Amino acid sequence: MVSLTVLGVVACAALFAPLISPYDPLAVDPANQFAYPDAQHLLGTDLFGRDVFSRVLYGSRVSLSVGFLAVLIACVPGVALGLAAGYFRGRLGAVIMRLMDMVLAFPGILLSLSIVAMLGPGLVNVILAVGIAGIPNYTRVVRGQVLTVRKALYVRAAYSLGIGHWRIISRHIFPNVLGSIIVLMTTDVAWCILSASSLSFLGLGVQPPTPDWGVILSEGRSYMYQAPWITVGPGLIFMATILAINLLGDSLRDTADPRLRT
Amino acid sequence: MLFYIFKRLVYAVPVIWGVVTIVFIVTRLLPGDPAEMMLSQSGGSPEAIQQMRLQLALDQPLHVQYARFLWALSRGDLGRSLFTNRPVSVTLMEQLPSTISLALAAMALAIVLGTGLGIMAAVYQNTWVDSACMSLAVIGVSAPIFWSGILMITFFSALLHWLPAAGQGTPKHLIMPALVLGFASSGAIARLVRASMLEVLGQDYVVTARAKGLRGSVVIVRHALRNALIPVVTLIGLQFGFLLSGTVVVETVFSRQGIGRLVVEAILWKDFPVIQGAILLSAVIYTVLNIVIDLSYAAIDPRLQVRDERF
Repeated sequence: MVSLTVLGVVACAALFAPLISPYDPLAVDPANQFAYPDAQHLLGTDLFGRDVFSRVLYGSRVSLSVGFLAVLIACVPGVALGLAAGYFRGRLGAVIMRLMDMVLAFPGILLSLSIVAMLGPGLVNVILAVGIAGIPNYTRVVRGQVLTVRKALYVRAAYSLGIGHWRIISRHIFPNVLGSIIVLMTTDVAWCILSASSLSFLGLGVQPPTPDWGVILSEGRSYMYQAPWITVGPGLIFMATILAINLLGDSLRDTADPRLRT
Repeated sequence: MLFYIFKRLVYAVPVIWGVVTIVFIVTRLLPGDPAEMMLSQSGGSPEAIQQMRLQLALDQPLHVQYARFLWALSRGDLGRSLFTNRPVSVTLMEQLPSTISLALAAMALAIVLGTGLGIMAAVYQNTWVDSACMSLAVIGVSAPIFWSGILMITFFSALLHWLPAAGQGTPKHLIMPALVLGFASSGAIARLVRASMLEVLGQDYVVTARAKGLRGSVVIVRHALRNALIPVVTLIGLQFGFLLSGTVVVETVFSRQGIGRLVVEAILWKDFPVIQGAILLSAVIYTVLNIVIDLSYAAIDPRLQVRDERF
């Protein structure tokens, strides 16, 4: 409940940022640099006098949309490959899984880094990089689920009735693995947001002055001693959002399988 | 057992070949002409650039470049940095100890912290101890590494002057980076240890051990923990991959030399031989480590010792 509330607030803030934001996130005001948080600037101002709260609001739009889009990019081909590998098995399944093993041999963010190196820094490229790096996880999970579901009596009955493969997959198998996919997507959103923000923090993702949580924290890093509010406030909001997403993912997973309750 | 080790190593060959191929394709798709980049700073003439292209075989078809790449790799030749002109393999070997020491220190911390939190949460299930441990675990998973690092530098270096903010060379330089990475990784380990311990603590043999009057600590350490560790070993292998990639951010935040920071700088400078070498090295280390993890299962649980499948 708490996590849904937090996510609801963040989502509303992202959606209505142009209406809620007291200032333009890109508006520079050098006379007002490093202002303390007060009634006019809830989270203070940064080196260029920009309102940090406004940048966090607009940054939430960028960070959340990167997370959700990256999950979609990972999910669609990942689920398709997993369905194919799990249903058809044999050589096709083996080739798909060996390809996924090769991709999974790249630890974590390094694959995203390779793709960013190829495509160049930028918002669209970081969404692609993080999304492509997430495909093998969906393939593996979906394949595992499909291997179990395909043994069910109703699937065998459908096959023996001469129903085509596409119809069996879409009508009988996919609806039964959808729950696992939704749980994985929920927890994956948090990972995608963190990965994308890490790339932006390193200067390889969203480029300044576009507000993004990773960019904001990267800019604040150099002025941590004189203006800690640039990093502490946005960082807490960032962490609270990721925490809420992770807790929501845990709840969904526990609902799907109470044996996994942590 | 030997046959299993052999089979595992043979299985790793196509995976490593796939990694090598992916790295080759990625670096060949990088924008820009490497010969131009190498000679741009010294103001190379078009003839010199063309000569460099011939030298790097950039005029050859892709399959010829691939064959040359594999041949050079088999001799340990990863090319030369476009900017320092130093052999990439030498640069990597210089940076590797720093990254490995950070990853190992973080892994040790993650295992100690994660296992401790997970055991306490399982033993004191549904009490405030359980809630506190799991809250710490989920905070570890949720807090951005770069943000945790910045906060630690501010608190322990700027305010308290206990630890150095940047650099390396002494154990003190390793404490904060390892803590940041280790804490982030411990969350997943704690949650799995808790789930695994709860399952094992409900087993008949554990109930019997308690009924015999054995001390709680003996029941947990000698009877429950070893069986609870089996799924955790898999996770530790995966977490090492997380740690290797986490070093990319941590080395930047704490201004440490290492493979991670080398990759970031190489991408910013478009130094493709270094990008290629560093990513390849990381992927190979990760693959080998997963093989070691697989083989360690038999040591943890003798029931899993693989019999010779030929007979």
